[in-house]
Amino acid sequence: MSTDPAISLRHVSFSFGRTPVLEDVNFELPPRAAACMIGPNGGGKTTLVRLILGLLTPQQGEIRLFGQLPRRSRLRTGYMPQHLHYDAQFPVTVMDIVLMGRLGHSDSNRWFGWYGRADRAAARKALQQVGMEGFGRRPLASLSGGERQRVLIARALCGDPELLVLDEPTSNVDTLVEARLLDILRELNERMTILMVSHDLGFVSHLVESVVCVNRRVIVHPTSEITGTAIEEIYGGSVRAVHHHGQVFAAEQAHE
Amino acid sequence: MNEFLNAVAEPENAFLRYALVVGLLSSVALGIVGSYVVTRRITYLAAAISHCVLGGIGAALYLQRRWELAWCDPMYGATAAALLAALLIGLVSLYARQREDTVISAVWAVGVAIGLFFFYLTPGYTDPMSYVLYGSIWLISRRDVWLVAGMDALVLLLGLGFYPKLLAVCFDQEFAELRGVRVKLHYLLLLGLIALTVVLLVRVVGILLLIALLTLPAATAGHFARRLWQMMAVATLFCVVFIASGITLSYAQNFPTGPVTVLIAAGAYLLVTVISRAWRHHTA
Repeated sequence: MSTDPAISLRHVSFSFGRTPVLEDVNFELPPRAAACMIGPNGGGKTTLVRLILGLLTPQQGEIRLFGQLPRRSRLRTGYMPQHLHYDAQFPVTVMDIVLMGRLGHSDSNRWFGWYGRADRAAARKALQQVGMEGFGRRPLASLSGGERQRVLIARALCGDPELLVLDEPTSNVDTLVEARLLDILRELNERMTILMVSHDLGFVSHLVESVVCVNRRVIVHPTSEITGTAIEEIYGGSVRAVHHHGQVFAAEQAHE
Repeated sequence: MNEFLNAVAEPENAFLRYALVVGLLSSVALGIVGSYVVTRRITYLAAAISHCVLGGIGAALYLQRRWELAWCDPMYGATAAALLAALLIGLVSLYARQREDTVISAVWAVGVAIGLFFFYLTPGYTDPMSYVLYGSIWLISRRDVWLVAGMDALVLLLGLGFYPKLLAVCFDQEFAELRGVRVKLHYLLLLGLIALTVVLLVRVVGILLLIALLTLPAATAGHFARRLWQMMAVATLFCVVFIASGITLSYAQNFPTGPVTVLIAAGAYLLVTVISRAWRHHTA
């Protein structure tokens, strides 16, 4: 295991054309830490995730994952997107999707040919980790929102990542599934670094040590420090913090 | 039907056997590539590539007739034009910031215009259009059969050999990229496979109609398949049935082969779609 931080950003700035999205972002995440990214819509969360994944390149500053450029450490990173932009009729099964997480990883499938036995074993293991064993043959279209979310986590896990990036893992998921997801993530966190985007601080406060607040600039708070005022500062007053059974939720208010 | 089979067995009816063999060979390429085209939703790009083939055929015929370059077969011209068009259209669709469809339509029309212009320049070629536009399955020679077989084998090898990556690129391009797949390269490979399949099909149904055979069997198969490779297998089977019945009918009734084949494919698609809707409505 390397001693480099799992994620490190130094003086990172990014803009689309003339519109600055992120300015002078600095933060580090040590290996096997867990952090949650929060912030208002349009505040730059998605851009920050895409920068960390190496899908975008910053105009200024440097980003390193495990001491390497994001592009070079792609195979050490597992990513769960918020949505699939897929066609509802696309003929794929759960197994087909999870196997995609093995691309670039396996020995049997370097540039030509089909997935091998080791790949299928890894995919079954990943499905088992998210409690979806026996779903391999199901078509994607037949799954519920929570099942789909877990399939996408399994796909991210299938390549044995050291860093797991999750975009809104609890959207479209009921509270029962949420509790289940929390258990899964806590278990995974013993082995890997987890960075997730979430509005649901109640969900993440049990798991993460730090909260990365993104609104053009980035401020990192330890979870214990997160209070109503902190959230109001981050969301710029457009949000009120809700204390509920001792947990803090960030609820977005409509701009009217 | 029996009459047709007897006719196929007649020694002097080699053209009938060649037509059937080429029809069946192209079914395999159609099933594989058609499934990619339908699921990746790039039928429009495929149609543009197919029309650009006219430019290549025109240029090759011109070189062959006007400058007496005997080796310059229209089939080579078609292949070169299709691959070039695939590359051009692929680059436009990958890098165009806006109005991708405008540029692609322009490429489509320019390809056709080049073809028409070369036909005009070619001396003594009176009716060049109908074979190319509507297919000429009865004029297939033994050499054509080998050429088609070779291309078919290439499409089969690449289309199935890169299956995991092409599936990932069609289903979720961003994720494929994050897994280190060279997404743009594989996308261009897919367009190249479309180009080869288009060339195979020019003989069978012609440029105007081939997009129907590239999409309808795969779309019909989509109702029966849970996985992409199953869709490919079922689409191949449908193609075999559609093309064989098209050839049989057109031989027996003296119908034009291309239009008959496409009408059969369209009828089957409509029927399957309606039945499947009704079935889902019934079970829901």
